Amino acid sequence: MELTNHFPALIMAVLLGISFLSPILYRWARKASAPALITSLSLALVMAIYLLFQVLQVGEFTYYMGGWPPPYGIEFRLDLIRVYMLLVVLAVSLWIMVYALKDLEHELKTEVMGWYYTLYALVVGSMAGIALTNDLFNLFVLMEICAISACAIISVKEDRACLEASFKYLILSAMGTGCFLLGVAMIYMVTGQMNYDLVNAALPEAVELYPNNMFAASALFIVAFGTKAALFPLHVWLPDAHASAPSPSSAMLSGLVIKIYAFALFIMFYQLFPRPLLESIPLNEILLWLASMGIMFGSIFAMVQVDLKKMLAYSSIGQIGYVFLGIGLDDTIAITGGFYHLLVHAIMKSMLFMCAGVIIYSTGIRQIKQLGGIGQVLPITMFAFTIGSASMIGIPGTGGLISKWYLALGALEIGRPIFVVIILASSLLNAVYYMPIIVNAFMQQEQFEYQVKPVPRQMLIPLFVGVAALVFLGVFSRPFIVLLENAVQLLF
Amino acid sequence: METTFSTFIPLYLILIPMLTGIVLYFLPESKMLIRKAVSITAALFSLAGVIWLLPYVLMGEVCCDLIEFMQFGLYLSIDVISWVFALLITMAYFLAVLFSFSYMDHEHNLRRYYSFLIFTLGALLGVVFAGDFFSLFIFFEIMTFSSFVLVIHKQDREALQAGSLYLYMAILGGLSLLFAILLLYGNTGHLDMIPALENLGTQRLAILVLFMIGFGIKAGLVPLHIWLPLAHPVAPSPASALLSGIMIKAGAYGILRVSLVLFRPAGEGSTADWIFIFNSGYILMWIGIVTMVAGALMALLQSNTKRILAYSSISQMGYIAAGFGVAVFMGLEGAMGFTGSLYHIANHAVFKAGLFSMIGVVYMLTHELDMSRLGGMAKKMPLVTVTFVIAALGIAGMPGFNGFASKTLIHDAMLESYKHFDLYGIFIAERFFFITSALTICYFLKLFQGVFLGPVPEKLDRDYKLPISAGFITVVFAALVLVVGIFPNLLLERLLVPGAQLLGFSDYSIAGLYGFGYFEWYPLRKTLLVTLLALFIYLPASARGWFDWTPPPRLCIQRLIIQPIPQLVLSFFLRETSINDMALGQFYEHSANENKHSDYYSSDVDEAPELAHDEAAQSAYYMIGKGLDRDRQMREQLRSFFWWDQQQWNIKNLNFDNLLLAIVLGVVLFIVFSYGS
Repeated sequence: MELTNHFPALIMAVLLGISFLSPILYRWARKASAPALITSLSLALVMAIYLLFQVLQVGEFTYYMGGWPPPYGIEFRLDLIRVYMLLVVLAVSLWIMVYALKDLEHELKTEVMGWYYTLYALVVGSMAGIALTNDLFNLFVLMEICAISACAIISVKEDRACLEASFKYLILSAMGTGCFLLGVAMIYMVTGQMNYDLVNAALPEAVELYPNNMFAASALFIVAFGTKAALFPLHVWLPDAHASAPSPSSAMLSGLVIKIYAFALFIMFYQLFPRPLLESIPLNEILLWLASMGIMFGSIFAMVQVDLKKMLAYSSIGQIGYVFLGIGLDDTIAITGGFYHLLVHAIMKSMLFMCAGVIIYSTGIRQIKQLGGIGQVLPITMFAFTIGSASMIGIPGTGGLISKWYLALGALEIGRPIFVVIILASSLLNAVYYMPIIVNAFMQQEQFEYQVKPVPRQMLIPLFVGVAALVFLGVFSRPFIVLLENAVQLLF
Repeated sequence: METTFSTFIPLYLILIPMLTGIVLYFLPESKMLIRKAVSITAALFSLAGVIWLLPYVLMGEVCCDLIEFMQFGLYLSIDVISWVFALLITMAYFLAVLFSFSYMDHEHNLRRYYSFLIFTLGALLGVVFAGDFFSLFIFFEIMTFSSFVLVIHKQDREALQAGSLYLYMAILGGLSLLFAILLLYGNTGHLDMIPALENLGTQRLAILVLFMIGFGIKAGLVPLHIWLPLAHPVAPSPASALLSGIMIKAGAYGILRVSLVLFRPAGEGSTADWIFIFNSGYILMWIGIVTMVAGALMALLQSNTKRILAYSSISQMGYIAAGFGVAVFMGLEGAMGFTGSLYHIANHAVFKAGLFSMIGVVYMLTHELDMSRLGGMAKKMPLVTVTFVIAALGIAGMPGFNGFASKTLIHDAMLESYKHFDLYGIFIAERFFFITSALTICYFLKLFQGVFLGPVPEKLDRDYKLPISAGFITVVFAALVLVVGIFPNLLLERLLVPGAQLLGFSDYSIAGLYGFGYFEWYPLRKTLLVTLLALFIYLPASARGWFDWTPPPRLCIQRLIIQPIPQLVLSFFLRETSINDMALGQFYEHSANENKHSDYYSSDVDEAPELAHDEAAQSAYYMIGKGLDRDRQMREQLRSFFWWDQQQWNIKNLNFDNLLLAIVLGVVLFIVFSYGS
């Protein structure tokens, strides 16, 4: 048996394994626990890169967990789009963890650090699984793991706001999972299958016999994934949860966790549901309008926030709308744009939360009003903040422009310029709330009056990496776009 | 004629100033001499590079293609028209950097100033060198953001407010450009600057309007000009000179490329195409007329010297837009309108940059911008007075000074088009042109009288020593005004006519430009009439103090439109979110209560669930309260979001003019449509 054949399972095994080991290591070999986590994340990343090359060489393939073929065993499917998602998840989470090592010392009590590593590895591992799995029930299990550990990395801080926010998140996310389970039950009822491919094969017949079941299932899926991914009217849990969590958790939640559910919904639409079903119910249309409303509302809420992290959290509601917009537009170019935005936003939003984390670490400030003149004392951080905001607005030279460009082109391709207007209007709104912060930070005449703690290099280097990545994505976007276009074309 | 030279020189010309700008930022604040030397070298390098390109540009086109850069590759190409702009940019930059040496000495944060000044040079060259619309858009945005730093250099409240308006308008313009480019790409599949009217399909009106909004904001066309009179005066004078002299021309350049290149039929063009072209050109001309009249009227009412110049820039951009409009609707016969406008762009760059520098010199020495506190500077600064008079005569269009050369061409183009189409509307437009020229003389008389004549105020009664570099640049500007004015045909025949040939105007209309009779009786008589009219307006009006009239604040457009509408929209959205939040809280509360009831019946024995549900209901109440709190908090934040202080509303620094101009524009467009059809 060749080891490389088992990489899909090994990625999860490594991450789940380290999550069990972390508390033990933290207790008996404290110094080794953080390097162990970093090593296993890097190991997973290396395996994912290997998988990418394998998929590029031999095309899509499947992996049976434990050698049991479906319908009895769990199947992992590796095609280009899933491996892309896997790579995004692993790379970004490794990058956030490097930053988190220093920031957490400041935000958490020492005795819970080991547990934090556990939860972090669980979140990453379950997300990797969600990206790869080809089985509805397995997806449900992984979603539960992800939801509970995501709640826990908020409440690990143990202050009132965190507990309250994570409770709210827990309830709504349990509601989401419940809806999903109900939807799965409906599908199982009419098809008797759990594996995506088998369900997909059985559905056309089942739809004709039991159309109501399928309508209900698709509605339940939209609600389930909408709640978890903070699609517009179901976003209520997000601002509190993302704003009160420790900064690395916020970066993780805003950057990756909400996206993985958008991705799961995308997989449902394009790999589980047969095309005729998608065309007979206006699912895409619903998604489009909810996403557009999310884009507008999210930006407007963000404008009136006083708390920096809360502003960033509201901005995430708008930005996840772009991803859903890409899915809803149902066009190769738009989906490419949506997925490119998924990567770009994962990087820029994580970076902005890291900047907020550095500001809180160094000065303890959370209020936007008090940030005047902070550019003089934290120039590197605010420079990174500027690049991140520029990418949010879509200024040339940053990744944000490219994803907006493709989304807008896709909207034009299917003849709906109204969505171009929405994309551009929200860019203007983004400018309205990001620009004053930057201008105040750098151009304020008054001196910065709060005490400033020196920022360790370990927190600044990830910011540099983020800036470089955003500029790279903005200037040399072609290879990524080509990869994504190939990946998306396979689905049509 | 059609040779293409492929070289990386244009890229170097763009990149070297940009990189120099970045390097300058990391030079320590104390190394002033090195900083000055590096900046002037960068400016000189660009000037030399642009001049070096001249022979190649006259023979054909200089190109540079980078395919791998960004999504669409970067494509640069320089033809004669771009070259004229590039020459103006580099020349004005050289002089402005020189002026900064003396002007900026007592200012703060020079590191940032020089760095962004030189960086903007690269971006500006990029705008005019760009060979397709995507490259143009990229450089346009970079220019916007780097010049923002120059606008707010002073960093006081006024500068920050003006800067934020500038920034938001510019971002709006950028997005509208992006939309236009997207539509263009969606319809034609390419972004090249070539005639493509036939391929634009039904969306061509939308594309044209979006392009015009995008470039019109930068060019300061009414009613998109509201940022300009605020932003240009607050910048340091060398930067104001560049903003008014050069950067608004980037907008004019875009309008040129869109209206005269992109919106031309690639082949013969059907009748419907030509009707579309005629209408768009006719409306552009009227927008130009409205802009010039409104700018001149507002300039007359100002008392701040730099703000007069800023409004004057708006007015002069109106001339340029009107000239382009005539060139567009004349179709293949429009060579005269086009060359007139291009000529005016060059001339305006020279005299407006010069005037800002001269007023800048006065400000540098006296620290006074308000005309009511200035006066009698003729005795104190004779050199500046002489150069100011020369530049003012240039802008007023007196024979022998450069403004005359271009204004005559635009005016003749209008008359020619009146003969050609025999439309009464053009006749009226020509009258407005005439009146505006008189008003231009009036506000410069006012400015000259306010600053240079009259008694010297006591506070300013001391000896002034003019720095050599400042004296040098004012003399250079005045000399340029004179040279172009005395030999108007030279520039026209050598550079502008080849430019007109590139755009495919008919030989017949171009032939009329060779040996154009500037110093004949007809144009001179017009000038004389304009001068008489100006005196007829100026003398009684200034005697009665009409120019000091302040329009009532309640007409301020900020109060009427700009503030209430976004506020309404935003509070609507906020209301929605609070309802949403509170509904969630109520949902929790209800479910807790319901559960309590059901438990009450099912389990009499166990008290524990009841207690738990009581607690849940309590925390739900708490959450509703929090929702209300958040609602209030958001509202407060929204109120503070608008930075206009009600008490400080003062018409001199706000935009009463917008309302006025919007009304004027509406009336004029109404007239145009009723006459045009």
